[in-house]
This record gives sequence, structure tokens and C-alpha cells, in this order.
Amino acid sequence: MRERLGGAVAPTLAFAAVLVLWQGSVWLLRPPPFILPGIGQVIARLVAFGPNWVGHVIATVEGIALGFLAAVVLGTAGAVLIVSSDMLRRAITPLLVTVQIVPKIAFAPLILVWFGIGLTSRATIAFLVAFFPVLVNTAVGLVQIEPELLDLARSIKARPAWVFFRIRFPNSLPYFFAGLRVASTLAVIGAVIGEFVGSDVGLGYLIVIANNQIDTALGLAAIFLISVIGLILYGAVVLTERLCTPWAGGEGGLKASL
Amino acid sequence: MAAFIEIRDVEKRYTTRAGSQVALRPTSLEIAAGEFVSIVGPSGCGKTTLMKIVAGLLPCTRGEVRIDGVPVKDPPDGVGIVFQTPTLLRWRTVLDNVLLPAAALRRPRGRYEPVARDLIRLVGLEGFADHYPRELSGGMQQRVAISRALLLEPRLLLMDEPFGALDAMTREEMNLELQRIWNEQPKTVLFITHSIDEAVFLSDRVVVMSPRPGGVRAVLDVALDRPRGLHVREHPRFVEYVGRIRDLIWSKA
Repeated sequence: MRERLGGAVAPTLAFAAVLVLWQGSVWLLRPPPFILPGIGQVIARLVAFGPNWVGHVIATVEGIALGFLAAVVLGTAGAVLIVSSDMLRRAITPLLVTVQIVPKIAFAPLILVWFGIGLTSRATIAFLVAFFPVLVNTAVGLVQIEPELLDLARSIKARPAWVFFRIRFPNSLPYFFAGLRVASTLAVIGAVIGEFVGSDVGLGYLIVIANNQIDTALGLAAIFLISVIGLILYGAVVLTERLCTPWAGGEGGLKASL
Repeated sequence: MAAFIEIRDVEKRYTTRAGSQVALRPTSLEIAAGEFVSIVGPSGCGKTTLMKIVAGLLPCTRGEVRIDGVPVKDPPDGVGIVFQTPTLLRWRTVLDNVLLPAAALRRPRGRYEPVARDLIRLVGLEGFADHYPRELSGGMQQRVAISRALLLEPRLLLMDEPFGALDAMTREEMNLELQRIWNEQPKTVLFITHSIDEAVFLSDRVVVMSPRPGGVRAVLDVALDRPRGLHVREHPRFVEYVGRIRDLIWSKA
């Protein structure tokens, strides 16, 4: 019981401490609002902006969702291809390692040149940063398997297709979802960056505008909304993971990824 | 009459950059149907290698293994294996893990489910059929693995240090359990262990292997009445067997 309570109390206190630190410094140091507005000012701005949020929130959610879904589908497909062909694996692995090192975000302006201002560019940048964690984790999950499990499969004369779908695939699920958790946070970053470099809509675009107008409270309110979107996506991934892998005992989630 | 299992001059070498390394020196052994035979030896003596060759999981460099007169190439029919670790599928319940060999062969579940439930009862896991492996202790998981190996009523049961990872007390308990299971479902068992005590307790015959590179040093008949209880370990003959095997393993032959 004490454990349970402590489990909820400590994180709440940590959050409260950050807010107290923020509001405390506003009261003590009295910075001008364009440097650091108080919590109340940000909330007031959030409310005052009202229906104007809708279009921007939808645009950002679209970019994240499209990029994330593409990353999941293509990342998984790529992983299956890689593990199913030795030749392909040998050909592609060095390329993958190289591309892993390249900062994908650096392509953002170039992607803008290729696809123009709009959803395609934003979603593509989100996809680019979210794709590799899905691909690499899923591939590792499909390959990483106890040798004894494969001996067992041979001894019971299981066919290769059966081994893939009934052993390798479920075995890869925890890895797959670990990749999805990372990808979900990266997709948010990618979509916002996409809106920074070239967009006429979205919360990232709004942050740039707010900055130019020295409307820091609006910028912080937009950051708050982006975080909410990110949390919802992350939560959805964790929930899906719990539903798909009840046998893992809910070991996933934030604890496992940290 | 030919033996049920014939191991004839089986040798295993690995070719490495340093040259050819012997994992198992030429080994010959015959096992009769229904016999419980243990292979005991120190780590690295090649006993697991020998088991894998008998199981058709590893090709030998020389020699031949025949089961019921048929040379072993791939994993043969009618052989159940229990590995060093339980090797259960985490996403399958106890019942579904026990049913795995039937599922892999696409045999009808309905026909095997009663068998699986009987086996789960036989190994003392009644009431755990719907649990996931992570909810079981190490000893319980290995019981599931034994049920799984027995599902298709194998003629031969291969066990590779199945209790090696368990604590001493659970191990003693599992030895008793295995003897009971073997009494209820008599079959040929080839049991690999590094515990001399365990080998003597369970077996009709004990095959003693020498340290690396391993080969068979001696074969001992264990003349102790069955069923053997916990206190058979204090029997003078039991003590004598254990002492003799220990001497055999470490003697410089």
C-alpha cells in the first residue's frame, strides 16, 4: 500500500516542484514577461487564443500521425525484408549504420525544397526521424532469439513459416514496441521542426510567429499543447503494447525506456 | 537383439582458425529400450554435444547414431527434449506451451488438450494451466518443459542438465518427481548432468565421461532398488557408486 501511494505521490511532487520553481523565480526575480511569463499568464494566453488553436493543432496532429504511421509500416516492412534475406542484410547494414549517424533533421530544409510547403514535407520529416528506431528495433527483435528456442523448434519439426509467425514475430513484439515508443516522441519533434523550417500552419509555426512578436506566453502555450499531443501518442503506444503483450506483465512503458 | 540407441564411434571436431579442435572423442554406447541412462562429466566434456548429436540437432564429424535401427540425420520422430533452460514461449500459457509440439505439426488441438492437461497434472502443476511462464518459479517452468517433451508420447526422452539451474532443494524434489513420472510413463531416458549424486539417484546405468576433450571413461550399473527414496543417498552402495564415479572422472587415465 505504502509502495502504491509512494508511486503516485513522488512524481506528483516532482512536477509540483518544477512549477513552484518556475512561478517562484517569476515572483522573486520579476523578469519581463517576454523573458519568462508566469504560469497564470500562459494559461490566460492559452484560453484567450481559444478557437484559433484548432487549425494549428489539427495541422500538427496530421503531420505527426502521418509521419508516425508511415514510419511504423515501412519500418516494420523494412525489418522483415532485412531479416529474411542474408544478402539484403549484408548489402544494407552498412548503409543503415551510416544513415543512423547522419542527423536526419538536417535534411529538413532540403525536404522543403523537394516537396514544397505543406503536409507532405512536415510528415516526411516526422517520418524520417521516426523510421529508423522502428526499423532497427524490429529487426533486432526478429533476430535476437535464444538459440535453444530454435533448437526446440527444430526438434519439434516446426516449419520455417511457422517459426517466423509463431516464434520470431511474438518474440520481437517487446522490441517493436520499444521502437514505437522512441518513434512516437521523435515523430513529434520531426513534425514541429517541419513547421519551423517552412509552414504556414501548425503549433511549430505558431511558436516561430510568437517568438517574432515577442509573445512568449503564446509560445509556451503552444509548447504545452505539443507536449499534450506527444503524451497522448506515447500513452496510446504504451496502451497498445499492454494490450498486445499481456504476457510481458506491463514491464514496458516509460520505466523501460528510461 | 540390437540396442534401441546405438552410438558408434561418434566424434565431433570443430575447425577453428587455430586448427581442428576435438569436442568429443570417438564414443560408443548402446542403450536398451526402457533404460534410464545418465551421462555425467565435468563442464566441457562434450556431454551436451553428444546429446545434440543423438537429438539430430548437430551433425557428427565421424561415426553414426541409430535409433531403433534408423540412422539419425535430422531430429527423429518420437524424441522429446528437455533443455538446460525451460525454453518456454513467454507469450503462451502453460497449457499452450505444453501443446506446442502438436501445434507445430498442425495436429488438432482438441485431441491433445486432454493429454496436455493430464501431463500438467502429472508434473504437479494442476491449476496453473492458464498462467504465463513469468508467473512460475524456475522449478515449475522446468516441469512445464518436461510436460511439453512428453506430449507426443516419445519413445525417447533426452534431458540436458534439466535441473542444473535449480537450487539444491528444488533439485532433490525434481529428482523424486522425475523418477515418479518415469515410473508412470516408462520410456528410454538419456539424462545429461554434472551432478554425480543426481546421476546415481536416477539411473539404471551411469556413463562417466572424462574432462575435455571428453570421451567415455566407464559405464556403471546402478544396482539399487526402485522406487528410490530420499534416503537412498545414505545407502552404503550409493555412497560407494558416487565415490567410484568421482575417482573415475578425475583419475589420470
